Amino acid sequence: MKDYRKLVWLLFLAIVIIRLAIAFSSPYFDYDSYFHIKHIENIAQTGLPAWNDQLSYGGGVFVFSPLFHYLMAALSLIVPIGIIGKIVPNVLYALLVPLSYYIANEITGKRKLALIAPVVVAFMPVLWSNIFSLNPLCITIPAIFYAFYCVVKENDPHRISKFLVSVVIAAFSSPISIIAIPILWGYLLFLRVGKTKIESELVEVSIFSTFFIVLTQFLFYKNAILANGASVIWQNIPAEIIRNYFAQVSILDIIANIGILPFIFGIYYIYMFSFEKKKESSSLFVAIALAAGILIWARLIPVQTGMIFLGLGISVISVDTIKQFMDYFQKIRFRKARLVMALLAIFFLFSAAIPAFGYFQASKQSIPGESEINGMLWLRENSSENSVIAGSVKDGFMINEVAKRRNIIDGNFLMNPYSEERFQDVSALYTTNFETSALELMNKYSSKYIFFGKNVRTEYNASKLNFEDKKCFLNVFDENNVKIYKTWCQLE
Amino acid sequence: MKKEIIIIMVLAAILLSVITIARPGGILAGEEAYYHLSVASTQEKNSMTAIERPVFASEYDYLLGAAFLFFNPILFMKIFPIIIGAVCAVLFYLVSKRIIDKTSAFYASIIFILSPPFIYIFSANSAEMIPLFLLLLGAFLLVQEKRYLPYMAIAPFLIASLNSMFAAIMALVAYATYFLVKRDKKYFAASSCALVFLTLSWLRPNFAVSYSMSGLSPLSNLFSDLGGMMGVSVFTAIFFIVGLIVSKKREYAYPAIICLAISFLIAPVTLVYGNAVICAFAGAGLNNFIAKKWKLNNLKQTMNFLMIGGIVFSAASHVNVLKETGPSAGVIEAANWLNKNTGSGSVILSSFQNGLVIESVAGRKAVGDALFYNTADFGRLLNDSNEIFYSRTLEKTERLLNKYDISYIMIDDNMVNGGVWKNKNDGLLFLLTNQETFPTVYDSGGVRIVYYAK
Repeated sequence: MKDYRKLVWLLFLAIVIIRLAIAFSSPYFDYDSYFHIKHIENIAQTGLPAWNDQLSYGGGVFVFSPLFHYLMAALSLIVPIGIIGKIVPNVLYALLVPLSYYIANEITGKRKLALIAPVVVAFMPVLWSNIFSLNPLCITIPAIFYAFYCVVKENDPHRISKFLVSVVIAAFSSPISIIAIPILWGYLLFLRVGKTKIESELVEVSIFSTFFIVLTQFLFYKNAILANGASVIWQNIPAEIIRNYFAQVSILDIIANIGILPFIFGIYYIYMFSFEKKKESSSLFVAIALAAGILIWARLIPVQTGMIFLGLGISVISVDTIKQFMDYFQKIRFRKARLVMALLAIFFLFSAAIPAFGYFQASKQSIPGESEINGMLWLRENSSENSVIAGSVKDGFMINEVAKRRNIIDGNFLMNPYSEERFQDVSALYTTNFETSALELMNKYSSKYIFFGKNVRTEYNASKLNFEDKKCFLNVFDENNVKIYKTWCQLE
Repeated sequence: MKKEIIIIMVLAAILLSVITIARPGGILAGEEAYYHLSVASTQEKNSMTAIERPVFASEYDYLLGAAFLFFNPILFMKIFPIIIGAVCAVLFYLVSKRIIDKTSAFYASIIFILSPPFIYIFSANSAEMIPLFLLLLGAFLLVQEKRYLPYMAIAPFLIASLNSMFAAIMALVAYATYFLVKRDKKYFAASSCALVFLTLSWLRPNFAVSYSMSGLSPLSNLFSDLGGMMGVSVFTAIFFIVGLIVSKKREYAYPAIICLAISFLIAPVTLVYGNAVICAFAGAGLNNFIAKKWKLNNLKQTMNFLMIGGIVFSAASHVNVLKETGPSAGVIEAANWLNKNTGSGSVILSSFQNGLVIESVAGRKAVGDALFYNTADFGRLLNDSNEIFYSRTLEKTERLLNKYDISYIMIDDNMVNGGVWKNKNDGLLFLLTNQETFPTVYDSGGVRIVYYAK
């Protein structure tokens, strides 16, 4: 029997090259990545993250899962973070391509047919939106999926150990690892309902994984849980912007994120799953798709992360659907089966490639431009060390990491009880017409600089500061629509 | 059996001592302790507050009042909870041993000692200590086989009922459960219930009294890991569910569980009693878990370690939180200064958290304290306090200060750093910069006291 693994790894290599080519087309990362870069650099220098970060919110506590940051810090000692920070996440995300092949192969038993899964995953639109992103999910998601691969790979004598190692890696890298718990128990429920004999080892590792993940998250995020209670799930994000993180999604959004053909085949499979007894292994990926779907619908998980899980689950089970259609065509001796499959493949490529390109374009908007970086560097050189810079939420991390100055607000809402108030104040600052109101807000945070960049234009639909012509605010930096204002005035 | 009892007593004593030792000098953990200190020391019939509030005297206050005649108050309030906590832990074990098997009872007792509600009530001098002890004593007597002992249970149950309506309801539930188990004793159970019910109708005590204000949701109050000061550990809750599923005698516990669930929604403080039931089943759950054979034995060992580690982690976490609760050394010193340097009728404005300390240590009237939470005046008093704290208009502030006849304002670091104000020039802090109207008379240890000359 032909071995298609070389082909799969070639596809992996191609995806890595394409991703890296795009990633290195800009020397910068997306805005949120600068938060992680700051802590990685701190670990590389001092061995510890910046627990009490004096720059964020003018002083705040940082809670985190340590594995990703320590790994990147260790690697950054050999290769600069600007390079390794682009290579590692893109390679790890690209690993989902061969992983999906191995999973599909286990489920269907058909090596040739299993090739569909890596192609679908390679072109999944949502996976093209994080090319410039440096965050722990690049470890967590592949680790979780590898763990699930170990569950279905029955012939591997070491699969339990590999599963446990993957779970430990996932638990230590991100709280999103908690999604593995409903998936595993959903899988066991399906097996129970389908009256399939459940291996006792499977139950035991599921129990262990549940407790291990819950205990580690309690350990890492105890202070956040104590501060926020059950609403820690929504990370204390201000009400006005929480819909950007935990959005209400429609069917069209799902299709746009994972592709129309995988969506149709995946939904068909789930529908048939309800009525017919299926293989055990595919039950796991139905559980993934359903758990991710429910968590997205209930707004208990950030949309983008949920879409990745949903997309990966659906991609794998859609291969089984295609196998069923192929078997049916063979049964009825449909002569044009190959033509139909070829047409579907072409349709898939167009229907996935276009949204994937769209997501890639959108991801380019999520990285700072040269002018913004120059603005941040100007602040670093021309403002005092204790300066507080007013900027939008998205600019907050860059103010800390690039300008090395304090911000008023950034995306680290979890441990900051005043995030709602600060968000309101910053919004008011960028939209007010009155100089006195602006001064009052600036004085409140002892801030003398206002950063006006691309994010401010987008978030507040503003083309300029309404009070910029007033005498208390001087434009001290202006480059390609990125402006910095300074004030010397104090409101009595 | 003796070895287990010794282990339980020693563990309980050590754990409770840790918190006592962690608090420096004469400072007690929590605010409630200062309330009991105040009521027991002064035996005042009227509350030491600017507006009248009922005095919620409990059995513990009467006990303290008697003890203070012979012992140093602070020393007694530090040692007594350790002793009674250890005794309660032993009683819990002896009662559990009769209901579930010996090994499960031992595990249940360890879980009980490590449970946040146990740690809280026996380190924060909670008034619930005495009724919990009495209910456990009554339950212990009730489950004995010797003929006359079950009849003696009525005494501790009746005394517990004097404390709160909830304790009386617990006594009734204990008899109801006894009736379910021992059908031949139905007349005894019924007559005991009647006696408790009569006591309840005659005295009509409060349902339960909260000595601190919690703004948390019921879910957060239920779990210590989510911030509930008297909440249970999430890991204990998981074992409770396992124990409930595997236990053959669970139907006998249904009246207690239903009653406790409803009471928790009315008054979260009743969870300290529900904790005993939860721990009993959790012990059975843990025993079942440990006894079960796994195919992956190494994983099982790791799992045992994780689970026990989870329970210990919750306990350690709670001990850490409790060490920091209650007044700081600076607040105690400031209260002592008020006692020595202000007139006996002075009214002091501070946050509600400091109210009980002002009344007990300073011996002065506070504008409000946490006990107002149990009264109808709470809303009005909180509104007025907030108006004073947040107003920047001198006229408005002075009107309210005069309304309550306030002479001094005490401000501590907690209030300035987010407890009341977020910024240094918010509300009253702005007005206090006027040293003519509000001269600072004390400023030390993170506490400032200003005088208001009417």
